[in-house]
This record gives sequence, C-alpha cells and structure tokens, in this order.
Amino acid sequence: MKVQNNSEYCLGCGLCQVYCAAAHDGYNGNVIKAFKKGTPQARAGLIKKNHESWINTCRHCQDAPCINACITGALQKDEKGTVFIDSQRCVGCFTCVMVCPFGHIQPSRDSSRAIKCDLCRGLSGTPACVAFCPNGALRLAEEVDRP
Amino acid sequence: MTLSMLTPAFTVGRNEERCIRCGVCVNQCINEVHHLDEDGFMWVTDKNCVGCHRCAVLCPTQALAITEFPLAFRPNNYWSSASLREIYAQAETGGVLLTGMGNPRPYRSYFDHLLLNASQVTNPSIDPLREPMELTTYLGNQAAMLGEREKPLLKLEVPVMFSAMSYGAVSLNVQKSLARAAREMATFWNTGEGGLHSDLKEYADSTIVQVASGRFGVTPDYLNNAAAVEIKIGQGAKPGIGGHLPAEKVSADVAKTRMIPAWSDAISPAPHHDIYSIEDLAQLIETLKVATNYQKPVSVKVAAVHNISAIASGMVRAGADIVAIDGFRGATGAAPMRIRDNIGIPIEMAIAQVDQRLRDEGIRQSVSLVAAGGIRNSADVVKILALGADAVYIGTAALIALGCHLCQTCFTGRCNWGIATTDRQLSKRLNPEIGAIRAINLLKAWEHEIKEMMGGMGINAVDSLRGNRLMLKGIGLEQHELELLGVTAAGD
Amino acid sequence: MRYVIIGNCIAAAGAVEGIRSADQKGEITIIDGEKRGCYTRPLISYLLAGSKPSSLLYYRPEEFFAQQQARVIAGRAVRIDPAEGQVVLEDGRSVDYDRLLLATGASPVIPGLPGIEQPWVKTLYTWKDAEEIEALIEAGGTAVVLGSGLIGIKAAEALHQRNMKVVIVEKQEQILPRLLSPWSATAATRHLEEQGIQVLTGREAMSITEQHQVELDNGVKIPAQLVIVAVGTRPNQALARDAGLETGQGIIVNRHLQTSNPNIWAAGDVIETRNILSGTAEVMALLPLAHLEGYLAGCNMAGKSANYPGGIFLNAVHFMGMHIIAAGDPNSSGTVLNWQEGQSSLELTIDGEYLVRYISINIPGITGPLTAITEKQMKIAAGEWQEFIKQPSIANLPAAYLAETRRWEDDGSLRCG
Ligand SMILES: Cc1cc2nc3c(=O)[nH]c(=O)nc-3n(C[C@H](O)[C@H](O)[C@H](O)COP(=O)(O)OP(=O)(O)OC[C@H]3O[C@@H](n4cnc5c(N)ncnc54)[C@H](O)[C@@H]3O)c2cc1C
Ligand code: SF4
Repeated sequence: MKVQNNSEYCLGCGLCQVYCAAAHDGYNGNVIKAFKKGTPQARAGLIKKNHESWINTCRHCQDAPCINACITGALQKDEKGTVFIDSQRCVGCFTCVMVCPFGHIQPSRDSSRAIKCDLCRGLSGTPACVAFCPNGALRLAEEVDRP
Repeated sequence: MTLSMLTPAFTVGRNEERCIRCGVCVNQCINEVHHLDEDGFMWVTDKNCVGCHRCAVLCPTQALAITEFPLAFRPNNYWSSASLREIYAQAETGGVLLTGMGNPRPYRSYFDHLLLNASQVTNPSIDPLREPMELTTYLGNQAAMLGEREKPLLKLEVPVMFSAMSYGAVSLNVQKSLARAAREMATFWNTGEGGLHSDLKEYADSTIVQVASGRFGVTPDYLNNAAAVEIKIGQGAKPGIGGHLPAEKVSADVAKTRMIPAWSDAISPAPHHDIYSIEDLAQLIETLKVATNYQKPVSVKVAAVHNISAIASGMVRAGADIVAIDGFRGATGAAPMRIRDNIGIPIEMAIAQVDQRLRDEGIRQSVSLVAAGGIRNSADVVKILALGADAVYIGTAALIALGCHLCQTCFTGRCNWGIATTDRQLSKRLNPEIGAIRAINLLKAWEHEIKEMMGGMGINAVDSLRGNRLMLKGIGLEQHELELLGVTAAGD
Repeated sequence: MRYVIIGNCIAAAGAVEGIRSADQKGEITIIDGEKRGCYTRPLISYLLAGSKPSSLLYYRPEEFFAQQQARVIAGRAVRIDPAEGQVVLEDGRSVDYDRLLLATGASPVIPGLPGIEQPWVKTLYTWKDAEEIEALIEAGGTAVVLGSGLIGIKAAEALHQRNMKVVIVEKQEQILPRLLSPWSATAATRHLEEQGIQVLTGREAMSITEQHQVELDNGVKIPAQLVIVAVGTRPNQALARDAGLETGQGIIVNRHLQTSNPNIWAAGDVIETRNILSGTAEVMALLPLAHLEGYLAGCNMAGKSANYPGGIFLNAVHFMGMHIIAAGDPNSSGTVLNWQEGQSSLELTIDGEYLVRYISINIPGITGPLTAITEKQMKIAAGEWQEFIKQPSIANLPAAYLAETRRWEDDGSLRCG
C-alpha cells in the first residue's frame, strides 16, 4: 500500500501536511492542539514546481533501500508492507535519509531522529493525507503499476 | 480619481485562538484577501472578498468567519444599500454593471406560493419503497400518426437534466462532472454554445449539443455526436442580448473547441442572423434534422418573456420537438446586471401559460416542455411538472452541488471553486471524479424525494403528474395570479 | 536444502531475510563467532557514550531468528571443506551445508607500533571492545584516538561525552580523508575543536610508552590513560583463502555474490564490491551494502537470480550535532559547485554530465536524491544544477531528476527474481 498522487488535481494547498503533522507524534489528529501546543511536523513534503504540485510521499519500496541502510534496525516493514521507523531505536544518523532515492525521509526538526510516512499505522482508517485531501488528489493504492 | 466609495461587502474574521498559520487561505484565495508574511503576521484585505467561502471551507481549524461588512447606510426603504453601491461603482468606472449567476432580486417566487396535495382516506397514498414508481420520461414529438415515421425521443430515467453551460463559461471539469453524472443517471447534459471538447465525445448518448447565434464548434460531427440538438434563441438571464466570452477566458483549448482564434473575444450575436421569423426557425430546425438524418429530436430554447405562449406555439409549428423555456431566474456566466434583474417573466407563469395554450390548440402532444431557470429543489420540480412541464433543466443547483457558492463573480473568470473559469490552476480545483459523485448524489436525492411526494399524492407515474394542476393549491396569491397559474387557492 | 551462514551480523541478517523470501522450508544455521547475537556494530559507540542501553543494540528484534526458523550456533568456524560440504568449528563440531554464505566481516587493522600490545590500547570494533573500554574510562583523563575515520570520530565523540579529554591523531593532512574534501574537512575539524576535541592532522604515532604516553613523529609526547586504535579494517578472509576460494583485497564474487565455488556465496565487509562509478572492485565496508548484499546473496542461494550491480562509496556520520553525509568517488575531479549558509554547506562535483561526488554538512534532507543521481549515473549537466545550488531543496532539484522519480512511482531499487 502506498499513497499515490494524482497531481492533476493537487491544489498545492498543503492540507495534507497539516493533517499529517497532527496525526503523528501523539497529537491524535487534533490540529489546533498540535499547532498551538506543540511543534508538529509533516511526514511528507509538498513539492511545488511550475504550477504543479505533489506530495513526496513514501513509496514503501518492496526492497526498501532505507531498510537496507538503517544501521540500528529502527527501519522496519510491518506485515502489511508498511515501512516505518521505530523511533526508540533511531539514533538520527540519517543513513536512511542519504539513501532514499525520493528524498522522502527527512530529519526531525531537532535533528534527533528521522521521520517518514507510516501510512498513519497508529491510527485507524485511511492515512490522514488521503482522508483530508480536499480534492481527491491522493489515494491509497494497493500496488502502483510499474512503468 | 483617487477615493473609492466602495467599502467592502464582506469582512473576514480570523479567530486567533484557532488560526495555525497553515496558509491554506492564502494560497486558495485568487482574490488575494489573505496575506501572511515571514514573521507569521496575517492580515486581510476585506475589499477583495467576494464571499465565496473557499478559505473558510478549507480552513482546517474553522478559524474563519465571513460576515457582511458592518457598515450600514441610514435605513432607506427606497434607496437600498445595493442601489447606492451600484451608483458608486458606475460613477467610478463609467461602465455597464456586470454580474454572474441568476437574478437575486426579491420578486415573488410562485414556487413558494404553491402547495402540494396528499392522499387521505378517500384514495390511498403509495409507499415508493414498496410499490413501483415510474419516473421515466420521454421528450420529443409523441403525436406521430399511425403509419407515420417514428419520431426520435429522448428517454430520461429522472425528469431532471443539466442546463446548457458552455465550455469557456465553465471549466471543462464542470462539463466532465455533469456528463458523467448524466450518463450514470440516464439523463442528459447540455454542451451550451461552446462546442464539444474531444474529451467529452464518449458521452454522446447523454449529450444535448447546442447551436446558438455564434455557431461555435458546429460541424456535422458535432451535431451527430449527441442524442439531441438544441437551438438556443435566448436565455433567461439575458433575454434579447447575445453572449460575450471575454478574451481572457478563451484559452487555447477553449478556442480549439469553439473553432475561433485563442485569446480573442467570443461574441454571440443577439439574434441568429438567419432567424427573423417562425419560418426562418422552421428552416433551421429542418436543416438540423436533415443534418442528423432525422435521428435526433430538435429542441429550441427561449427565454420566458411577455408573450411566451404565442412564441411557443409558433415554435411547435416550426417543428420543434422540445421547447425549453428559461425563466427570469435563469443563471449565466456573465450578464449586464440591469438585464439579468429586470427582464423576463417567472418560469412558473410561463409553463402554466404555454402548457394551457398548447393544449387549447391541440398541439401539446407534438412537443415536450422543459422548464429551466431557478429550480432549487425536488419540490420545485414536482410543482413545475404539475404546472405542465415534462422535465426540467437545472443549472444553478447543479453548480452548487459542485461547490458554487453563488458569489456571482463568474464573469471575472476567477472562480475560486474551479467552476466558472478556464484558468488551468483554478480548474484543477474541481476534480470531476468528485464532481460527478456530487451531481449524482443530488439527482438521486431528488429522485427519491420526487417519488415520495408523488406517492403521497397517490400518483405512481410521472405521466399522471404532468399538467395535473389539481395537485396544486395557491397560497397568498391574488385571484388573477391563481387564474394565470390555473390553480385554485388553498382551502378552496 | 541446508543453508549455513558464517558470521552473525548485518549481512547474515540480510541473508536470512533473502533466503526466506524464496524458501520457507530450508534449514538455516548461523555460526556466531562473537557469541553475542546479531547486534549492530555502529551502536557500540552509543553504548560507550551511555546514550543507548544494551537492550537496543540488537539489529533485529529478539524473536527474529526464531520467527525465521534460523538456528544460531555460538562458535567460531575454523575450516571449510568444500568437497564434503562441511564447516568445522573450533570445538571440533561440524556443520553440513548445501549452500554456504561467508559473512565474516572485517577486523580492525593493528599497526605494528611499539607498545601497541598494552592492555589500555584498544580497538572499538566489537561489543566486547566497548565493555573493555568502559572499564578503562577515567573522567578527566586523556584518551588518544589514532585515526580519524568514521570509527575514530565516533570513538572520540563517545569518550568526550564520558568527560575524557580527547586527542585525535591523523596521519593524513585532514580528518575523514575518505569522506571529505579539504574544504569540508576544515569545517568538521573546527567543529570538533569547538566542542573541545583536539585534532592533530599530518601527525603519526610512533610508539606507545609504558608511561602512558603516545609519542608522535615530531617528538611530542601526549599523556594518555587510554588509546583507541582506529586506523582501518581488513576483511576476515582467511577461511575463504584456506578453502581455495579466489580472494583479492576481499573475497571475490560475481554479480550474484557467488564465490569461485558455486555452492559458496559471500557478502558484507568481507567481499570486494564493484564500485559503480569506477567499475573496479574494492572493499567497501559499509553497512547499507552489507545488508543488501546479504539479502541478495540469500535470494540467490534460495534459487532466485538477483543481480547485484555494486555500490558507491557513501556514508552518513554525525557527531556532536554536526551531520555529514557524503557519497561518490573521493578521487573525482570536475566542476565543483558550492553552497553555504551558516553552519550548513554543500559541495557537488560534476564530471561532464554526471554528478560524481557530493559532500553535505548539516543539510541531510536533500542527500537521498543526490545519492540516487550519483548511483544511477543520471545524465544531468552542470548548468541544470543552477537553481538547486542557489537554494538546495527537493523542489529545486534538476527537472530531469524530478521527472524521472515521478516515473519511478515504484522503488527503482533492486528486487529479487
Ligand atoms: C563503531 C562502528 C561504527 C560504524 N558506523 C558505521 C556507519 O555509521 N555506517 C556504515 O555504513 N557502517 C558503519 N560501520 C561499519 C559496519 O558496522 C559494517 O559495515 C557492518 O557491520 C558490516 O557487516 P558484516 O555483516 O559484513 O560484518 P561484521 O559486522 O563485521 O560481522 C561479521 C561477523 O562475523 C564474525 N566472524 C568472523 N569470522 C568468523 C568465523 N570464522 N566464524 C564465526 N564467525 C565469524 C565476526 O566476529 C562478526 O561478528 C561501523 C562500524 C563500527 C565498528
Ligand atoms: S523511505 Fe524512501 S527508500 Fe524507504 S521505502 Fe520509502 S521511498 Fe523507499
């Protein structure tokens, strides 16, 4: 499973990032609390380029380079194929950041650990970005057709 | 001139306890109402706000409230604040006031003065969930004599179609949404006068193509890529005048579809230059029938104006299979405000009169009547059918389903909802997959409600509702109005 | 099918995953010479620093090997008998195999300095090393670290965090010589010094005296309670050589990670890896490669046919708040593009139309794509980097890269079978 862009309908509004940030780090989707009381950080970057925009989300690669590279075993794949970081184990070396060919994994704001899309596995239902995209530009896809 | 007397129409309130500086309002407002600087300071330019609610709807914390700007003129029952503002605007620009969508003035709405009947004791009501309920409607000339050639008919599973809204006036994504919905619901959408975009050819069986005075995009292929052809004589929002799609909206794609040069004004003349009489109309109808090998019904659309019944009668005699009448509430992408707000008659009156006239003349069977202009809900549909229409066209209601907030600035081409625009970035805002679902949902809901109201009246087929004015009672109407509508007063 | 893996570390764990992706039933036996389980070597400096508990040292969760039905035998292999398909352990036991993987890794190089054998001179390479160093730590005392490679720097950081005075001695003119350019090395050195670590470059240790002193080539004697030797590593290829397998700097393998004996594969720090950029085979002791090689070797042992194109030299090091990530060919030349803002900087080397090396300091976020561009040798001329080098960000990466990744939709990485 992975979040797939339909950038033809991406508005670049950034709501995916707002809801993503609030869905993580224990804010439980409470947007106001997250942004008023904490320092929430979105997992996926929104890229805007020449009037086009898309979110640079995790492809949950089958043979994920980040998992190969992780020096601590913090990066793992769960039974559903979701690549996630066990932040307890992460030491913030950013070897995973270095090898993600998409530039998806990013340092946390304080640079103490790496953060990435986990398809909101801690929460029930669809990933927040997909659920809250106002224009249906994101969808949760099973396997993306390969070129 | 330096000082503008046009104070803001709206004011945007931001609840600072909620605003998280995400910037969605900033990036979504094409009118540049919201601003956020590097220091995180936010401010608004109320003057630019058109009240479209794009920002408020997308705001993830509901931090925005848009209200009327609290600046009152001294109360005056004659010189309303709108009158003053319109004069200020004209004094500043020297121009015709332009506007979009339908006539908003507080004229009497006959829909709101009509009540429906329901069965009690003497005849049973019908539960549409248990009993079959027939909404299938055929449009066209159904008066064929024995031995005569069968006339082509349009078959609708729900008597609601989408009004003509041209590509150029609205975005391609609007048309895609409506075309998909029409196909799904077994009804029709109408291209409007802007030609047929190649992406929409696949919806031919659900499409009505229009031939208007500008003849944009009209080719034999265009005419045959449809289920019916409609000649547009006039439109409820601007009877008597033509159309003007400003050059800024004529993008390369629009130009290609309309077969005109890009970025040039697309002018539809006020009249068809080949129609100066009923006989001329008959000629064009016949031409179109020949061009489509008599396979497609031909509709003629006119605005509801003073002597509409005589006009309609003439149209039927000229060979129109369908007469579409657009009432004075009909919407538009752009019209001079004075025209929109002061010309035409209500659709309720027009349908009642035309239906009666055609019956009196014995030609009602040769034509179907389609009512348009200001149909807001399923009750309006039921009432207009009972007044004599076969089906309705909805324009405004369909656009509202897609997200239109009736800010009436369609003519600027800067529609924040991606509806009345051809700008690529703005058009993106309407994802036709979502638009289609919303339009389908609306029709499904209405279909359900129509069945329920019919069931309540003890009617199980829409054929028995059509022109059945016994099902209507007037409330708060004058005697002559009741007579014109052909109904009696509530309690009578 | 009986699979045997010698060595129980990263490559071994990868191999287990690879084998199981294709064969759920075969018997897997791992010979664990260190007898400490599959822990992750890079974390021992964190253990030493006291920032990670030993429970988090394991590379895979405790239940991993049981879940994968892999048997782990504590013991050192002393001989391989390829004719018999047998591995002999130090205690005389033998283990039969149908397919064998050598994942024996590397060991630190110990220079032949006078006094190097003293008990307070240590390497930092194993969990046991870390425990032994732990006993020698004296807050306030001085530790001398010989070598400023990755391990040397991490050792220095750990000891510094344990309140020792740390002196790094590096023979070359700059620190992290395989990773950094002279320019970026200067910034890194300045950072170390600002944090209170003394850095002596261009200096060589000549001897270590019984009086707890390290004597340098210029005659200076540095008092030291503790010396860490971190001057490089060397593949553990004795077993392979003795078994008659082809070896060079490391064990020589083909594209399927197979050694000269078709029933024996090898992966990890012990092999020579094809350097994608130069096309030559080199020992690249890198954890990301170790896992991937192990994984692919495992796939192939279980009957798939996975090609390993090789890797590029790359590394991410962070110490005392500085994040350095670099990849590519350290000996490359070409147009150099620079960006700098405050404590962050970026250096790109572009040879013709190819990015051949980058060095980033404190700007990790954009390195993933740079690695991909280097590794996949994407054709991008220097001119196309203009926007990016003015303001490095993902969105400003060359259009050709962005278009390419959006086509990738999938991983663009390797895949078994
Ligand atoms: C302090 C430190 C920090 C590091 N940091 C990084 C980093 O940030 N990034 C990076 O890419 N790399 C880093 N590395 C290197 C990384 O640890 C290695 O690349 C990786 O561990 C290689 O894995 P491997 O499985 O090939 O070999 P090894 O980890 O060397 O494992 C081989 C195992 O096989 C055992 N063995 C050897 N011979 C036999 C035998 N005959 N019988 C039984 N068992 C045997 C060994 O005892 C050892 O346990 C670091 C290393 C150290 C020491
Ligand atoms: S983070 Fe990057 S490398 Fe890891 S699975 Fe996602 S896309 Fe692939």
